[in-house]
Amino acid sequence: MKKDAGGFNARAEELLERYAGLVYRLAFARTRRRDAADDIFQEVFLRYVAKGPDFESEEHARAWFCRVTVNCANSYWRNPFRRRTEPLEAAEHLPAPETAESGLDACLDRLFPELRVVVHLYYYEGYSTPEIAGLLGKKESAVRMRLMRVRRQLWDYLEEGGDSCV
Amino acid sequence: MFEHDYRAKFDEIAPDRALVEGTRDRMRKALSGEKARPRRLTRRGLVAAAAAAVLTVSALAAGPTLWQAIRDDLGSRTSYATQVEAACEDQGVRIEAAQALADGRMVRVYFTARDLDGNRLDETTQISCSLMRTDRDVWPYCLEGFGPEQLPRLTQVEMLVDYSALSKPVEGEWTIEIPLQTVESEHFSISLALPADLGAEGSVMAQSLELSPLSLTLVCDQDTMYLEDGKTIPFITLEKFTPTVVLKDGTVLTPTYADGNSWWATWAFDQPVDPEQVVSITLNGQTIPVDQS
Repeated sequence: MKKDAGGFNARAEELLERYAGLVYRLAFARTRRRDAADDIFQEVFLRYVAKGPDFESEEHARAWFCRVTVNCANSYWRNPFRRRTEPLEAAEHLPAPETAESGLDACLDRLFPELRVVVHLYYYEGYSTPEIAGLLGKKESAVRMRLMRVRRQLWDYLEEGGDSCV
Repeated sequence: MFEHDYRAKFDEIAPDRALVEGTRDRMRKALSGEKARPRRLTRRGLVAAAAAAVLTVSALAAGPTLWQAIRDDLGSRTSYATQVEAACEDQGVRIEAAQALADGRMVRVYFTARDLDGNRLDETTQISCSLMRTDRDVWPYCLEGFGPEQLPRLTQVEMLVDYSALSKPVEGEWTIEIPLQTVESEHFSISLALPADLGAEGSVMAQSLELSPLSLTLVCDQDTMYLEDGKTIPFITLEKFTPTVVLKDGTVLTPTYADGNSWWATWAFDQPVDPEQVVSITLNGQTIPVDQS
């Protein structure tokens, strides 16, 4: 991947700064773990360097980073052995598990990961359901169904204003 | 309320500066053509490499290499796998199932994906499988990962491919139905109180164990997971109750946590075990004798 090296390098670093927060938050939303988000974060930007996509617009770039982050997060969790196995000598350096600090955290911890992705794209990134469908390669009806399931699961929180998931 | 709280919560989430700078350094090295330092292969790395090999080979050719890759990945579990014949095709992409390994809790399906019209598949193609319940009147929803309570059949394969201006998303419908032959499991009723997590109230009653040559599953009584108000659930992380399994010859096995939910957890054996050789299972310091008679 050696095309227009100088220009691409500068663009890559610019995109790293611009989309660092988006990628990290989405990875954390999906996994609810800092160590997983760290891994996924690096993977996403290294993929960008490896694939060198030409973005037609900022919206296209933003969508690409969302899509690849979700892909990397799916891949991270796909193998249950992978996600659970750490060498013993590394265990002492592992961060403590994220603890549910609030009712919101408890609610989010209880959602299925793929529902959390939809929640994040909808409530935080502000994507519409057709846009989320496009990003995730799902039908719009499937995205709406997931949002409906989320609202059902978060009903207490939404209705009672706070800590009922704890 | 929720949206406001959610946004406030995630406004506080950001990558460490050290992570960003470390990533920038790795990007620069990659762009300059410098070889990345080889990663130390832990077991985690080895497993990931094996899985990637299967997918890569699958995309290239469904020949003898594929079967060897599957056998290598299955290892000593090969004898429990069954060959399956199922295929689907759309948008010039053909998916063919090859082999399946399943018990009452876990399933692993090997399949090939080939692009008949070009080279849209590569090593970055993400392929994930979901298990869909057939009782659609309950939840028309795909369960993620392994191990719903029952495995009627694998019904959906999802393919996700990175896209760019040069590689538009491939949209289509790929549905493949794979009847599974599951390895039989032994079911044991137990009555064991497991303490809820620190900071949570109460305990949860474990009510059964499911033992197959491939995995061990702990199932709790869901009725004991609700406190008297009918809503609150004693938060419990079943993963932490790693069981130990003792065989007749004295061997002690510690299976690896594979999957679970709030009321069940499955641990997989590294090597298949003969359930008839199991004499006891210890959970949370309490030993449960296994009577096979």
